[in-house]
Amino acid sequence: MTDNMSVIDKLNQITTPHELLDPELFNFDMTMKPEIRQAILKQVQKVIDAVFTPIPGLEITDICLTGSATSFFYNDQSDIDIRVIVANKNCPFLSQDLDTFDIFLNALCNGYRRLGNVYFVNNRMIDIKASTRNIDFISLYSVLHDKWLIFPYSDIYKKINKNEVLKMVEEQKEIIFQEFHRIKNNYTGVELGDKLNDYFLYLITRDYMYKISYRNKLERNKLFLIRKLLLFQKVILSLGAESIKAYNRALSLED
Amino acid sequence: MTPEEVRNRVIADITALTTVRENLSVLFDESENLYPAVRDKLLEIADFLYNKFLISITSAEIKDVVIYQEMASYLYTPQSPIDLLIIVNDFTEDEKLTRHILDIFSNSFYLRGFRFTIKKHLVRFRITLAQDIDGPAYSVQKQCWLQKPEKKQLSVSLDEVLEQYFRFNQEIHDYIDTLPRNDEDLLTREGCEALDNYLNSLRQQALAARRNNPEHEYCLPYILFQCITVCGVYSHFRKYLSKSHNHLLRYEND
Repeated sequence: MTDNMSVIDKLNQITTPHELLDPELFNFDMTMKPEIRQAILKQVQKVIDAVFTPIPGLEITDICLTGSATSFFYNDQSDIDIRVIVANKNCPFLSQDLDTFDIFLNALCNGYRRLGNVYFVNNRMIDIKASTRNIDFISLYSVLHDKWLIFPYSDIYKKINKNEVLKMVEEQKEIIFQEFHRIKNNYTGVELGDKLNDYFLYLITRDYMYKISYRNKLERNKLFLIRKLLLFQKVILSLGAESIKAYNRALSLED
Repeated sequence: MTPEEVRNRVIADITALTTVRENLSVLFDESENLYPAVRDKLLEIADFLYNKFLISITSAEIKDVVIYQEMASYLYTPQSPIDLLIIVNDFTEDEKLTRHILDIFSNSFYLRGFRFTIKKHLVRFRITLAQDIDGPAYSVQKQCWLQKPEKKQLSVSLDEVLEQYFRFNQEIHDYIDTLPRNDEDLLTREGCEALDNYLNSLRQQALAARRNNPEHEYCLPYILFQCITVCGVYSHFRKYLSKSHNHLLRYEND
């Protein structure tokens, strides 16, 4: 666990904007560099050809650059996070339910990467994921359509009270800790793994992001920072690890 | 480890691998049926994999759950994994496409850190089609042998296996030494393709030998392939291929 001082450092780091967007990816006028855009599209197309094209009824509706690389709060080691937006138009054997279809897309992308298919642009890894929808609200760039879907601003954390954020991080940690123990005391076996996994997914992915995206701007930016700091402190990831441990215990048999 | 220690370790591993066991593995009782607790756990694992991954494929059905390879034979070791096949229908009605999806899916499990063990044996699962079963196999769902293992002695002695293994291992190293490399001693694109084909062909030849040779899992070509797997030669070169491949992806500009 990181100490409180380093959390403050991290908070300062992630709320201090660069003057410009990542100069490796964007021009001064905030348009994406054409050669970078082409390189990203070329690499992503390889994944699309290998993974999605053979499956009938799937349509790629967008290819988006997400994460800190689209904001003024990037760091030099940031991966290039790409989300391929896939629609199930009429695939005869895949679920139309978006959440269930996302399970399929996620498993395909993970499995394909595990086969050793990792791509790079300018020596930076492209982390390619696929989903049915975007969940971002800080900034988002459509590489496919070459335009901003959510325009980035450098002053989004200007009015944030950092002490308040740090206090809320501690409160959230306590809430997560209590919920973790409530689940552990009430469930066993695979069900324990499922409940921990659901809570982990809620905190790390879509549900939590949706929940905060409906708040007013100042509050949602604050909640976004809290989530980032909880991730930094590995509070959320440790829940994921606990769920895997619970599954491994439940689905194993001793002598 | 000193070369002597490595050699001793190899000899110990191969000795264990080629020891024909008196009884079937700890998964089976004296009547050669699966213990009920083991069966329940394996079916639970199959259900879990279905719910976690296959649920998104509306037409996918589990047709059978099968134990095969070492743990369904008399040639197993305390370290042998339980190879579990989750047999599904051809849910796309296009075998090539179904295989495409299943191959990628099967790989995604391991990223998550799932590690199930039954009586200290790691469960290694794969979702596949019924056509892929050959050799001794036990249907967990139907509680019967699809093909019962034969108990017999190896037609070659341990010394011969060891001699052949060291020769085979040298041949593999000699071949891989001929592949084109770059300045960082990693394989070029042609080298990667050649090594991938070579490793795949070693596996295919071993499986074909197990299927077609009258000695089946006791035949020398299959045993030798098992030896290079158990002794880490196969995985060493798979990792080398992966490292070379990643290097190519990172630096190639095409």
